[in-house]
Amino acid sequence: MSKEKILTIQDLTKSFGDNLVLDGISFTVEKGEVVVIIGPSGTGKSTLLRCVNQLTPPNSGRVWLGEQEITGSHGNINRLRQDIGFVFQHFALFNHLSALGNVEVGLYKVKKMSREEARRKALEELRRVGLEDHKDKFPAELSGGQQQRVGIARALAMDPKIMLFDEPTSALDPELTGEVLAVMQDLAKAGMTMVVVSHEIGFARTVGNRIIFMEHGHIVEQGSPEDLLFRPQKDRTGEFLKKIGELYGG
Amino acid sequence: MDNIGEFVYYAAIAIGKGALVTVSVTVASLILGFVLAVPLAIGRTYGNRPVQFLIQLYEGFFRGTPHVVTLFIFYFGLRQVGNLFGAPEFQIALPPFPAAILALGITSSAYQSLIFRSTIQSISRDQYNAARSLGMGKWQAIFGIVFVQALRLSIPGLTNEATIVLKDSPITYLVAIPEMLTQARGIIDSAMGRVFFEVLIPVSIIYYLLFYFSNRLFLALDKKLRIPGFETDQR
Repeated sequence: MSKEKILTIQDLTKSFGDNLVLDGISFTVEKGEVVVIIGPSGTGKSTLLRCVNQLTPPNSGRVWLGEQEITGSHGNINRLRQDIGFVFQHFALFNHLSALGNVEVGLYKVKKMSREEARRKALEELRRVGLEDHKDKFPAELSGGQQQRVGIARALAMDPKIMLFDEPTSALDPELTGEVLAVMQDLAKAGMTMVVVSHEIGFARTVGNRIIFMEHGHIVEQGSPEDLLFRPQKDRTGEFLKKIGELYGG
Repeated sequence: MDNIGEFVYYAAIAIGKGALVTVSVTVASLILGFVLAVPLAIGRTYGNRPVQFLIQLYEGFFRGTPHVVTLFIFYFGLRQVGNLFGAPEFQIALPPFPAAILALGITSSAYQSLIFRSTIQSISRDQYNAARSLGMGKWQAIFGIVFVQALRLSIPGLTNEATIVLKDSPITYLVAIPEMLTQARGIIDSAMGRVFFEVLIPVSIIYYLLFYFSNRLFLALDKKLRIPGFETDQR
């Protein structure tokens, strides 16, 4: 298996005022890998994802997408972001655009595709997440699970090299969670490189290649799902997993 | 006044002309207000601190000052501006129409800016971030995603603002703009007190009709541009 590095994060720090949210995070993600980041709320998981595509600029540290450095690439950041799919916790769909409109807008506005070409590609992506029949519906007319699948299709349409998921199912009830996780599982099977912030331990176990446990802006522990879930090295990891297990029955 | 028919005929023409002036001044002021308000609202939302502060001053000044004072500043004040700097030969003498439209338009821009700012802020920051994460630039995300939605949601506020500017327009009579109420006053004066309500009632009806049709126009626009799930008209 090739060891092509897609994402390299080196010593990333971020603070909001006096609050140090990320305190020297480093890890790499290889092509085709699915990394699941778990940890208590407020430990900087979402901030970490936002620092990767510079929606939140970090205070220090460096991030590379493949060979290209993302940090400090001021002029180039819009170009680099196209290669980093981002899926939001609360979907963040464009409310004035239909499902199809949401998926195609990046294609013609950013990638400068023709409208027909953009439409064809957007339909393809909607089919991939099972929403072709809902293409003309507006976000407010879709269920939460459907909205999130549109969000995934919108990010996928840009043909990203990596997909970042920021708690993609935490705003959904269990039934809707299933349909979103199924789409993500298909995506992983198709070889997409993914970093997923999630409390879905079941997903982490079956789909993830690696789990990172984060707390207080640090990586406490990381490893394969079997090792981390069943033989955690740190007491804190075990404690957290036990709590999650009680809550989610995972 | 021997010929009542003739009097009514000339009065109707004068009021008709006045109504056209009223509509022109109102529409021009609203358009100027809109053109100024868009960058103001965006600067106030996305600008840095000094920009936000300056816009806040602007909004505060033009909302906090009586509109008549603003009108006088643009019409009389600019003629006197040289005196402030000990150079009385320097003056900006705006004709009545530009002065009136500037005064009403700039005043309206301060109010319209507030309307836009509140609707811009009602669009979740997430949508802006989502646009940026697709690779859109800052301005592309602001105008292409956030502002288009904010604009649609602003229609009810703008309907109100249009009504207010329409009913503020008579103050331009102070700088001799021949708008509808000025014409009405002229007719009343020339009849030497023999008519009053005969003139004022038709004029009021015309104001009401202008109000009614501008509302219908905005309502139609609101319907045409509705976003499912975000209708501003809940009937």
